[in-house]
Order: sequence, then C-alpha cells, then structure tokens
Amino acid sequence: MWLLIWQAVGTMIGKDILLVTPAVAFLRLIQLSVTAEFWASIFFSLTRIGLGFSAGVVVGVLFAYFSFYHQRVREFLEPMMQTIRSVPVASFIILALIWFSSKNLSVLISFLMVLPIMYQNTLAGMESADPLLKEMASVFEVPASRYLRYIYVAQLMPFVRAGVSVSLGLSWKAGVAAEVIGVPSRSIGEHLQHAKIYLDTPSLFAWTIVIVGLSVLFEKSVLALMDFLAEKARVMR
Amino acid sequence: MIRLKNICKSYDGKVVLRDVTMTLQEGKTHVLVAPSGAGKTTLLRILLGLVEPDEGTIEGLTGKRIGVVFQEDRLVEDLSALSNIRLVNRNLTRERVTEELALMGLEGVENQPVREFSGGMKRRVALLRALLSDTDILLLDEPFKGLDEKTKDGVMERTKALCRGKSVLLITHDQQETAAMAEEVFLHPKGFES
Repeated sequence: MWLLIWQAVGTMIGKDILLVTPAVAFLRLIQLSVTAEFWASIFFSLTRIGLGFSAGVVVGVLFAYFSFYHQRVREFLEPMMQTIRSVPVASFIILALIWFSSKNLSVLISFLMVLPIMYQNTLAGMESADPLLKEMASVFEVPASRYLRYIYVAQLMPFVRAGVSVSLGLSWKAGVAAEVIGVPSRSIGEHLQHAKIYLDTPSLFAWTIVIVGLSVLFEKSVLALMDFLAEKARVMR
Repeated sequence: MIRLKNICKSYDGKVVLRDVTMTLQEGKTHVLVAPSGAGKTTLLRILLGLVEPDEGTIEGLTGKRIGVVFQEDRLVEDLSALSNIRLVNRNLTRERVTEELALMGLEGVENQPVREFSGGMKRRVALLRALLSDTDILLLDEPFKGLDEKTKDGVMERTKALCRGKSVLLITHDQQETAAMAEEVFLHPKGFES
C-alpha cells in the first residue's frame, strides 16, 4: 500500500531529483548490487557497526554487573552514562574526528549509542530479580551455576533483550550518520555523502533501502540467536 | 532430634515469639497449629537460618539439609514443573518426577511452564519440590493452601508417604490437615504472640 502511495506521489511530482519512484530506486539498487564496491561497502559498514554494537553490549552488561554490586562504581559510572545519553551524536562524531581517523569512527559511535542503553536495561533487570527466588535457592542449596543459568538469567533476559532490540536500530542510524560526516572510503556513509553532493537521489534512496534492510536483518538475526540460546539454556538435561 | 530452647524474637519492639521451646523428633511429622499472625512463619524462618533469634538456642540442625514449602510458591515461572523440581535435586530422574507429578494429580503437564498453571497446580509443584529434595528435615508452611477438598485428600496421602523417615514440621490452622498428617501436635503452644 505504502509502495503504491510512494509510486503515485513520485509519478505526480515527476522529478527524480526531488523524489524518485520505488521502481527507479529498486532499479538503481539492482545496478549497484552487481558491483564489487557495493558489497565491499556493505562489508565495511556492517563489520564496524557490528563490532561497535557487540562491544557496547559486552561493556554495558559488565558495567551494570559491577555497578549493581559496588555502589562506588555506580556513583562513578552514572554521570558518564547520563552524559553519553544527553550529548548529541553529532558532537561525539565531530570530537572523535579530531582525535581518531574516520575509518573506525562508526565503531566508536555505535559503541557509545549502545553502551548506556545496555547498562541501564541490565541494571534494571538485576534490580528486579526476585529476592524470594534467591532465598529459595539458598535454602535448597542450589549450586551457583544452576542458580545463574535457570533462575537469574531467565529473569534478566527480557531486560537485556529489550535493550538489544532498541540499541540495534540506534547503532545503525548513528553508525551510518558517523560515516556520512567522517566519509571513510568504501563505506555506506561515503555513498550517501556522494549521493548528496551529486544530487543523485536514486542512489540516495537505493542506499537507504540497503541500510533499512541491513538494520532489520541484523536485528532479526541477533534477537533470533538470543532467543535460541536462552531457550537452549533453559532446557534441563 | 531438634531442640528449640527459649526462642524470642521481636520486630520494632513488637514481640512475635516469647520463650518458645519445642522438640522435633527424628523421623516424625509434627503439626504446629496456631492462629494467623502468631509468629509461625517467623519460627520457620529462624529454623531455616534466614532470621536470627533475639534470644534462645537451636540444637540438632548442624549438618542437616532442609527442604521447605514457603507461604509463597516461589517457583521459576518460565521453567517447566519438571525443571522446577529437578532444580533443587539434580539426582532425580525425569521418570521419577513425572510419576510423582501424576500421583499428585498433575499428569501430562510436566513439560509445561508453571506460569500456565493454576494456583492449586503451582502449590502441588512447590510441595513436590520440597518432598523430593534430598533433605533430612522438611518445613511445610500451609502446604495444602488453595487445594480443593477432592484434590487435597490425594495430595495429603502422597505427602504422608513421602514424609516417611524425615523430620517434618507442618504449619497449618486446618483441623482436617492436622488430623490427617500429625504424629505429634503442637496445639497453640506457649510463646506465640497473636
């Protein structure tokens, strides 16, 4: 339905430079997809944003763990998390460009977008863990490994999953924005920047379709993997 | 034999237990009957080591493992009935647990997550978890709460069989449960402040 509306509006305007029709955008996408550079750019952006996202998840969960058990760590980390949440992503990008090369800029920016979300969600999950179940486990002398696997992780999982779901989309948006500003060669962001400079609207739409598709695919794959692992961990041998 | 001597406990100046003295015989089922709010659960928490008494001593608990049915079911909602029970005793086989669940009227639901169970079904899983735990002492706080009369008879019969040989303290205020389960009754004993 939305595709039809898009097609109708695009046809009505009749100027590709303002709004291309879906047919033109997908045709451009097909033309791009047969080039080696297209796949190299996807590989470049995917690996860097994926790396930043993974690092953000790992560090966010670890920081939450230490904050939960040590009040001083929490007091130390809270202002940093608050700052990262409040500072505009463009400020981080420009600041990072002064310090680092643009090649790995999207790793840092994705990491910074994911970190506070994962920290906050994991901490909330740990705080909501049922103390009555902990007491039950201690009375029955359930070994720590079994407690962690079957009780604690099960209670934590919905919070971590929600954090991952939100931060996946953000890491893509912010990662590509960083590439557009930093323009590292052979990245998706570079192609978007070139599309802007040369007023190549069909390419702009084609690359946007690629970004949306990759973001959705990335999110679905990561969440499916998490659900699979959580289900596997829950089954008692 | 477990001896409780002159156990006292107060919360914010309000006396809950005053000089409670009682003895639990080895291998017997004892039923403690006292009104609601009289401190029965506090006594149970003291026996579990979750609360320190203000005064008094407990002898005979060292090295003993304790299984418990709390007032709440305290089940892991996402786990199946089978897993909840095997969580506390890894030596239990699936077959044994499935068989025991069926004897408690829970046939064919062993693999369902307990979040899908009714209150009465959850209570039976919590009870069976304690009864099948590898423990010497059982503390059962109103274990038949929420069960309908028809189910309760069968569950009490099976509970009695599984309690054999263990030292049991069952807390209730139900006369039928007391008559069916007790080998020794502490009827409104001294020291419980209601």
